[in-house]
Amino acid sequence: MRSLIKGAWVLLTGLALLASSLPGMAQERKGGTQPPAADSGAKATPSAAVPVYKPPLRGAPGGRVGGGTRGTPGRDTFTLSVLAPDANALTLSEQPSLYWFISADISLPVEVTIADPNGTQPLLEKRVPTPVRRGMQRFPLADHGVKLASGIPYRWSVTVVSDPNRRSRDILASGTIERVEPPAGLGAKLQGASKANLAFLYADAGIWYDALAAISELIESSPNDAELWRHREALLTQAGLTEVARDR
Amino acid sequence: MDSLALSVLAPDHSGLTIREQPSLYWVISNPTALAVELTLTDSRATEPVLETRIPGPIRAGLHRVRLDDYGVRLEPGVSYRWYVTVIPDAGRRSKDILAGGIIERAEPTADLRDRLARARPEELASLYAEAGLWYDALAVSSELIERSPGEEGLRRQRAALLSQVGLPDARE
Repeated sequence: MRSLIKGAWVLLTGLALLASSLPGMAQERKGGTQPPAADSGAKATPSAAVPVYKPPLRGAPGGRVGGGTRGTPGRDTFTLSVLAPDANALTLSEQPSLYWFISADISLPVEVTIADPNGTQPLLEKRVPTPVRRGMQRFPLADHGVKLASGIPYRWSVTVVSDPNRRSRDILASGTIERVEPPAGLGAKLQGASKANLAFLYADAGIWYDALAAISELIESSPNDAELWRHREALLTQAGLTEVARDR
Repeated sequence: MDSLALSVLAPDHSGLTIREQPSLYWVISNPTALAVELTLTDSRATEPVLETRIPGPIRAGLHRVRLDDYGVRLEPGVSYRWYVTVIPDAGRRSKDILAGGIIERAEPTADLRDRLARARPEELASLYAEAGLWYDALAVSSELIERSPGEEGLRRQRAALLSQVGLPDARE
């Protein structure tokens, strides 16, 4: 089920949980005041313990605001999603690709925006060439000369402008992306890795955007390989993007 | 109007439940006589699953909405968005004060079902929390508090749960 990112989401649940989540330490702490890690097999949960919430790695309003047209009869409805996990939306790349999804063909104007939380001006604001065909879309930052600085949680959005005079009618989906330095040891592993293994290494390290990019590039080069599609589906499902995952 | 803080007790990501008819909790900072609405929408549909006026006047503090009171059932694997809306001016809905979260019903694993069946009531919140079932952890924690309102330890547990998703404590 969680094949692709199993290792990662344990690491992703945050510092407070780290101690109780790491397999080795979970053993030592059994019977202590921490609840047992989910897969440690430990049974006892001391009643005095504070519950420790382990967020699932999936969709969200905070990290992601899902768009969708609200029922105007006669108008086409569609779903708009940015392919971003809610938490720990990380990349190692200075110029990653952003992926988004729309469930129907569309000829309305579509804008991609990247906002720097520390700045007042968006880092990028670009009209996407239309019409846009339904399905998954790729927006390579390298095509637009935009570079992400490390350690800044940028918010990026895709906006469908259904009425340019009434921007309150915009349909918007957004997520965050943050560039981080590679975790210790990952660089060496990546260098020796085959292309097919990259997605797993990134997913394992919790680098969601790069995992998605790696698997998507493989799919582009071998579109008939059903296993690759299944891997991407798993990755998307784990981030709560079930509708996108089911779409082919 | 006095400042009014409204929050839903939901994590900032899709929160999970294994219940078909879970409870939703929300908090308001002041008592109000304004109209308050609860909306639950299915991400796949355009019409809300539930849109109801919460009977007022509303007291300050924690409020619970039981979906079974409204005959609403969640389908597994569907993410629902829910909102609480305070409506200061029914003629100008742009003035609404709104708070919302996402809830999704998940199927429990056999292992979890087994552990839940064997757990003592006071162990449930931890079991749910570690399984990532935020709404259920909050619900059992709140139910224990309702039963033993004087017990500080239970309140500390819930406060911890809330702070883990960035919410302040919900004192009644």
